[in-house]
Amino acid sequence: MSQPQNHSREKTLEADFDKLPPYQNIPYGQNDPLIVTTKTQPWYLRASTWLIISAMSSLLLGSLVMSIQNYLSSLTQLSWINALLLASNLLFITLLLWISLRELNAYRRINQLVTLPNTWITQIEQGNKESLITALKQLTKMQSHTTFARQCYQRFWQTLQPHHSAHEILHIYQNMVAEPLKAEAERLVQPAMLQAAGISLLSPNNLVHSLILFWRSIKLIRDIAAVYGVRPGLFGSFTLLRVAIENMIIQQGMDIVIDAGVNRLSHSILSKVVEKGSEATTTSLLLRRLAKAMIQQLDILNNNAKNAK
Amino acid sequence: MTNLPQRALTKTQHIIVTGLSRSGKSTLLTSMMAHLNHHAEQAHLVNKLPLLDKIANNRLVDAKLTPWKDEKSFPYDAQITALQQRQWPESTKGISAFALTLTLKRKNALAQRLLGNQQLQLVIHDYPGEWLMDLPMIDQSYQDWSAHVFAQQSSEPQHSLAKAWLACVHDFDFTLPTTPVYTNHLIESYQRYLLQAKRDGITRLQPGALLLHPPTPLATLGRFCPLPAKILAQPDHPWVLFFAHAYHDYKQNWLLPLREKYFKHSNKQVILVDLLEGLNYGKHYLAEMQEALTHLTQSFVYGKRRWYERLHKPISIDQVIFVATKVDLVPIKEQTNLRALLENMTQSAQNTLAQHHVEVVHLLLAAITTTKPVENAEDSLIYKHISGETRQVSFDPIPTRIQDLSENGRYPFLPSQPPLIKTASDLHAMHLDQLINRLLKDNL
Repeated sequence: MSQPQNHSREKTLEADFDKLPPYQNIPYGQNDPLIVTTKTQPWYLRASTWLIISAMSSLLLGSLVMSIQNYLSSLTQLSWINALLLASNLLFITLLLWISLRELNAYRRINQLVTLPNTWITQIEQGNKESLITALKQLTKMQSHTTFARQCYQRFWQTLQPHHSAHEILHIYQNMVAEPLKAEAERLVQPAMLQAAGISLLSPNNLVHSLILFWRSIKLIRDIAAVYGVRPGLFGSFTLLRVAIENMIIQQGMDIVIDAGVNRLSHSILSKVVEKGSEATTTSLLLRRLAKAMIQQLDILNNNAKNAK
Repeated sequence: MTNLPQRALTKTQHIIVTGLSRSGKSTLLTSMMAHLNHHAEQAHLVNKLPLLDKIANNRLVDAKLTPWKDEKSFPYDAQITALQQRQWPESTKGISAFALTLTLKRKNALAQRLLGNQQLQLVIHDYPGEWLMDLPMIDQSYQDWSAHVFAQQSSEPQHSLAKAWLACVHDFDFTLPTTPVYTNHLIESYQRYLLQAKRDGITRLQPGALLLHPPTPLATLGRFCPLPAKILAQPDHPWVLFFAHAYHDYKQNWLLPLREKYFKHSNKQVILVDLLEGLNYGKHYLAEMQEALTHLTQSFVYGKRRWYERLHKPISIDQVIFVATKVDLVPIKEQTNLRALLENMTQSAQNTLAQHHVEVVHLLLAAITTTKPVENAEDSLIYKHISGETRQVSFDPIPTRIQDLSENGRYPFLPSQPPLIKTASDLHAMHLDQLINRLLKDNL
């Protein structure tokens, strides 16, 4: 293409630039330190449950040894027993501190996730790309603790190109992260519902029924949290369990209503079947509600977007 | 696709990809093919078309080029080979056509089991932009066309470029017989003007046959030039009769069959616009390009058909997509302004199309990305010059309307080298997914 001959004023400024050639298209996120690159859960974390059990055991053991010490001290002075007691107490305190710190960290993470600033959505709606990128990096950091979520986020960041607008980035996020995570989480719901309904049918009384629902709720919450790359920890789970406890209350209320209704009908076998069937259906429906609430809680951008509307 | 049932289940969509010369049609088609192939094979690894919602969830099984009837096939392999050698694809020298056949999984699992994969054929015609500008001549007489060409040459930027031709036609003795020696003298003078004007960024140049000959045996068609008003005023003048006859032949034997064969089967039209070429030359050139675009939209049959009209009313274009190409050659920050400028440039064409209830869409596109943004300098970009140097360029804000560009202001075109690629999968594009989405709309 030839250049114009007339005396024109150029609106660009060009200079040699000794840099990498432009064919290397580096998208956001590649080699990004903000992306957590933790591999699968290491053995010492997987053993945390056992450590908690060990800690509890050492507490019990400590109490037992104290009792024995009291008994023995009444008999004679044994210095080696005192040394053993001191060592076991020190071990117990160390374990307790370590577990507490870990739980505290997990609790902080969950709280951060649950109370993410609503200003994100305002900024996103205003087309503020920088804010969106920052928010998404923060979210990546919080939700990249399990393999599936980490893979989704990594693919997402590798896909982003500098020319994508805030609206487009959000759209890609929905397609590549939010929807796959949601689909994966929803896959867990059906088996949990069937399992809970089955056990409800067989449960001998309301207490067992409630306990089963409680146990299944906790398991479902933790499984869904794992899909979303969140490891809530013991205390973090308590925050998430608020929804589960609500469920329990509703379940108890439903039980009373069903009992009253069935009693009014009769005590026949048919009414027992109806009662059990209702309980099973209610249990599974409540689990689904719990799962939906949990997914909504963890699908942060969608959740906030709906609230903003 | 050999058996009859499968052919019956294959949906065919004709797409008119139009654009002025050098607007990037061949590069677009090459890139589109490369990206769809990549999407079919490797989208699960790296998704280069993340906004391609129409083929979501790994539905695309295969994308391949198939010949379309007896047309010359699009030279995809040759284009990729050229790019691998860091050369831009050759501009289109003749008409070629191909069907981009997409094999897709069906959305419905039962339908997938019963009917198997779904096939969609996008029949795309690639042809030189030089011939495109001739289509409006179908509805003009030789006299009207001739007067129009002289009117154009009376104003800038054509006037400066046409000085030699205008002098030639002014001094020409029209009492001479219309023998090949004299007619060729006049035609060649006009042809020299056309070639020079093309080099200098003028887009509306007719007849295109003088810039690029029609294929044999029609190569001799289109050999005429405009005549001045004093000659045109005499309808029986031998020169008027001679050129009017050549003009009529050109319309009947070349333009009308061209329109019938290639431009009457589609309801979608993509119009590629190289705004950067206009910005390279300045305000007058942009205005000339705007006129060319308006002119172009007068060459096709537009109108939305209602469902009951589909049985009897011939197909017409109901969706026009204006695409500003090579947008990677401006900083990302300036692309919003570039889009506004595109909308401003097509305003007149939009008004025409609105009368026919045609849906108009504006998109930006870089079929092959050759630049890179500069960190902490939003008004700049880095590109590899054809000389091999890597350069950084900073831009003044691009105007959103033609009138906002100063009289002598211009944005020099960046002669960038194609990216270094090993395979077609290494190509990167900007906003290609949005264009493909639009092309697939209503078909999936």
